[in-house]
Amino acid sequence: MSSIKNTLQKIKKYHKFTAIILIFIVVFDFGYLLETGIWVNYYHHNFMIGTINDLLQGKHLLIDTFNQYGLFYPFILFLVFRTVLQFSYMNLYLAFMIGTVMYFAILYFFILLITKKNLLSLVGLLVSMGVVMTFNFPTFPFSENYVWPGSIPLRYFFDALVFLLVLKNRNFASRKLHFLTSGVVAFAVFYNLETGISLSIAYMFLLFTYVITKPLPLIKKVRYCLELSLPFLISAISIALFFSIYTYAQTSLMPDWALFWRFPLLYGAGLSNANTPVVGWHLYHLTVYFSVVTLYIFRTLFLKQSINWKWRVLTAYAFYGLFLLNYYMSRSYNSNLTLVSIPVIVLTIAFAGEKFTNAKKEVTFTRLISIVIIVSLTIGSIYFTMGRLKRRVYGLETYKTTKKYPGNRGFIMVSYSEQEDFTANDLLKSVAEIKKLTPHQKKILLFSRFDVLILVMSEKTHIISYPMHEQIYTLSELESMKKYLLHLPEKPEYIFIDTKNPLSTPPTSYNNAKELFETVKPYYSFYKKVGILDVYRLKQ
Amino acid sequence: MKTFQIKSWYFYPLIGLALFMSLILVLYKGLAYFGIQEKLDYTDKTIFVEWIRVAVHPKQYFKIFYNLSIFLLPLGASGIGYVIYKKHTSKN
Repeated sequence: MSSIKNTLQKIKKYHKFTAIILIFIVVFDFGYLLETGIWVNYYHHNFMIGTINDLLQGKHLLIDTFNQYGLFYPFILFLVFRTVLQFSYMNLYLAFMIGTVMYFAILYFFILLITKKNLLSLVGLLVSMGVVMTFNFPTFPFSENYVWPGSIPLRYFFDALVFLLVLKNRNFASRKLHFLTSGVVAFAVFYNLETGISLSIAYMFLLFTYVITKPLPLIKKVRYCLELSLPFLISAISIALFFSIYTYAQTSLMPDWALFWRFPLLYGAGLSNANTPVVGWHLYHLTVYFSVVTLYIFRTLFLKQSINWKWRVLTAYAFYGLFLLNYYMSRSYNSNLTLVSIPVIVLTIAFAGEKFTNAKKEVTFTRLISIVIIVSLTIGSIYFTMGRLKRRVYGLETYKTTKKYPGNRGFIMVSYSEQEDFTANDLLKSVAEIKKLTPHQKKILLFSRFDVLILVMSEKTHIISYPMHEQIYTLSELESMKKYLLHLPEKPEYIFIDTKNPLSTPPTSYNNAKELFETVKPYYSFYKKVGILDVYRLKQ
Repeated sequence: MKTFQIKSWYFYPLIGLALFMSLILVLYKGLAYFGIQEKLDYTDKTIFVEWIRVAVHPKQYFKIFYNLSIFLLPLGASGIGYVIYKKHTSKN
């Protein structure tokens, strides 16, 4: 008993070190060494790496490339690959992992500032990581969450930082801190539109409710509200302006901002939406968020009573949680719910750790429920993390005995769900041939289900302004790309087509590539077959 | 007969929350009954390339209600809660 007490004392004393250890145990894996799934995993990476590859090959965001995850999310990764990391699928996995470690480190300090209890903060960190990183996906033998760029905390990287800064800046007393926070919120909008807008609305909610509950005349309230909102508005306009000037300086074209909100609009129209079940864990989220926001409004606006700064910020955090939950409400898959669960976990931890003076029975009871939920989630987090650790050991053991293919950007080893007649050697041969036949061209005409993988490996990009064929979603876009290819002033000498369709039941995303190929095929004749690709040459 | 006693202020907005949410649910079902849901959930799938059409499942109606609720529910709930609070405290 005394040894447990001693250990807990040590954990409390060295809580930052313990947090680092915890983060690495739960979040760190060897997928960047082992990632093999050309056929499965890469598919999800393609939606991010396709854009980064485009940028590395000289294309520009909102000009001739775009990304469904936002603007600065891919742009920051592009800068990382330009300066620090060598560009490859495996290093994208590594970058996602490093970013996730950073996110949870910031989150830890946020929870610590809320609870001011080292041990409880460590529990909050463990549960947050556990729910987001281990409760969701059935992992592949060699890789974990980092395979899904949209399903890791990098999607909403700035939320913990913003609320940490706001919490530190009691009553917006520090102008410097307020400007900094407003700048980060504005940046977050351009980083990822959906989560950035959620964050900015919550931030505005905090500013607005703070001002409106101040005992000031209406005119002064309006002026104060404008004064507080101005840094955010100026930052947002400056960022948009700066990005436009940068793009214009690079390309002599203004960015097409319609590409920035193209995906939120497409998803709004119903793309990949799923029905929300009547009963589910999301009801807990809704109960907590709506209760916190309603109690806050009732107390501050109607009863005109004061509330401490911490719960003001936490209410804004709950408000943010409601908007973040939109991701699940639109596409109600379990993995999407776990991803957006951090606010509800933090709020539960905050409530469980709150000191109530003269607490009434019902408060004590609600607190008890919070504690039971946290304990259950802690047990779940430990259980699923243990499962992950076993898989990681298995993955490392397999890595030792499997044939490796070093020195390419696509993969290190191939052993999982490999398609018949589509071996690593065939792929490497095809890539070598592309490089040989188009030594001076960055943009090529390639039609393949694996277009992004082949482009990344051969250090090329598409001639068309799409990171991947699959992202041509509408018939009008497809028609306009066909016209574009037909009227190319200089048709490329070679085109490359992968005639094997691994998703054999049509219609599939491969149809786009096939239709584009059929459009230009009359101008070309079969030249040779290399690896997985048929090469066609321009008719004389 | 015992009179109903509310000891803590936070019960009022929570009662308001339950009442206003019921109101929203009735409105949600009622408007759906009159065909508003069908109208709002309509998306012309023919604009999409063939293979993606199977992945288009519009739920605009639900999302409009959800997003409006984020603003209206806490406000409405607090309003109803405040009315009950005023009546209750003036009686006592």
